[in-house]
Amino acid sequence: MAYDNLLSRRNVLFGSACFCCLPSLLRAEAAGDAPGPAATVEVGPAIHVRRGLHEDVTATNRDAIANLSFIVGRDAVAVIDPGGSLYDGISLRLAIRAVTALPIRYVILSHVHPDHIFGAAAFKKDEPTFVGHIDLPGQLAARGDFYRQGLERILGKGDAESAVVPTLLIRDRTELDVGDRGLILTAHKPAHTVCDLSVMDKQSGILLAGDLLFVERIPVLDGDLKGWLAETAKLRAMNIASAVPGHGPPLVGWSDAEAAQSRYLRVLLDETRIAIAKNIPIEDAAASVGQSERNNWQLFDAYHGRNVIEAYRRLEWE
Amino acid sequence: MKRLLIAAALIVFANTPQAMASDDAAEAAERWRDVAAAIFGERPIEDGSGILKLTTPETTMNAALVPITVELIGNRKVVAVSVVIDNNPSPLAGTFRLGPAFAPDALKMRVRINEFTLVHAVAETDDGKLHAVARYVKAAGGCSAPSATASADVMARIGKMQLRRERSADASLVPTQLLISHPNFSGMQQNPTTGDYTPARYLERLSVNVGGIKAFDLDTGISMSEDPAISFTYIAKGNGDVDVQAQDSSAAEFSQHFNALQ
Repeated sequence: MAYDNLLSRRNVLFGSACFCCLPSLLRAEAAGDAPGPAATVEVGPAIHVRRGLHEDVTATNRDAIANLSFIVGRDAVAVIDPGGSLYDGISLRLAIRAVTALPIRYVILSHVHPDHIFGAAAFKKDEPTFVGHIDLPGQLAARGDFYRQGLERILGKGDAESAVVPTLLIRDRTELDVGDRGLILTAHKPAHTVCDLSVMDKQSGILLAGDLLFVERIPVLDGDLKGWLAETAKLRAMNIASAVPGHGPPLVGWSDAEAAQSRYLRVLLDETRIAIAKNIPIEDAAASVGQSERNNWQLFDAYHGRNVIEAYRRLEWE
Repeated sequence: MKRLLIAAALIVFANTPQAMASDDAAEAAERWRDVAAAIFGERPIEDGSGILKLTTPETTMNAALVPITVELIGNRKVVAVSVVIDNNPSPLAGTFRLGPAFAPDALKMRVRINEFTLVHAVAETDDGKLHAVARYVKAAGGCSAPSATASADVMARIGKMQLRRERSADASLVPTQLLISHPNFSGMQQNPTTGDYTPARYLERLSVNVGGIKAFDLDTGISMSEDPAISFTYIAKGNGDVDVQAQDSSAAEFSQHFNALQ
């Protein structure tokens, strides 16, 4: 039954009471607007970042909500996260082409979430090697269609092509080279998701953290809460000076950003455990746990309750 | 994005049926007539607002885990409670047949919601009559949502149970939450290794007895969340020990004995 019409279904997907949706929907469905080059900033030597919006996906933002990066070496380009939609990927590719004509050798997919990787199709014609965590193909098998259908409902057909499955799979650590420029890829244990990959640029010492690091926007838990804290602790031990987070400013000092995120995750862990120990029902915990963090994060109301539910249902069985 | 796409599902708000547009309401009423006929046959269903109260979340973000509460109110003796999620592929989430060790209080469970839907709670009173109340829930994707739990973890603890009990002022009444670890595969989720649909495998039957006296039997299915969790209050009958028996759709049986709350 089409209870509400599609439009109000979309309002729900957009995630908020959304008086702005109608014009934007119409615009998307009229589509045909060609993407221009994304605005990027050079945050380190030949490291360019396109900052994502702190919004949920909408037809207006074309899922350009995650930070996307590319690094230009002597011989080639490596892309770290190709974008959230075909439109977003094309727009990133145009930004790359405005900087360099070198071949795009690697497209690195930091994890399974669509806002980071559904732009990959825009790079197929470059015939790069698509790179991902060893468990990413499995996650795409389980979720790829589900994500694509969700995107299609919001963006319309055509902007949500199927995910690209990586062929170079990282199990532990691998170094890739784009010409005198080594990139160390690390496959993490379950943390933000079960397939997080981070990239360390050896030349600058900047960590491209993917969604292992959220800044300003509330972290989203879709993997393993304790694991996320543990993987973060390992990164902390590497004395990283600065990082490109998956969401937030294009470049941040690592320690303050990490400290803020770890504080949130620990509050989530500790208070959820207490709620379970006190037999506070999951629905009440979702509204009471971690409220001290409310003012520290954008989109808190959209995701925090879900984080509590995710943490709670796992910690019940620890 | 992560609302739908990561969470796989969401509810933005739940409200009463009266809040629906009138044509939607008509459609929902028609669907309910069909679903009710399939489950309850031709038996008339009366308004249950004096007997039952159904609570669904105002805001929840995970349609694969929607906590709902059915409270028994008033003085009528209720012998069975059914929860129906009208628009789910398998609408009957569960039927609880209540026994003498069931204290007529709140029943809580976690359900999957696959699309915007009315949720009905239906009580059968001891005169054989049916009484229903409903809430409208806006959520989508709960039955096909991929689980974030590693499947190896889930299968390692399949059938394990926890009984989380509290003390109340009346020691004979024990508020309890029963957790059963089970993936409750809906048949609509894809497998991370192959991309094939994971065959349905779900909890089908559950019995809770206290001191050998029935608290409830539950017939259930894929509309219950992964790792089903049911809250209820039992009356400490007999020696007060609690026995739980469960069976899933693969005919696997699980049982656990819990000593009386000391």
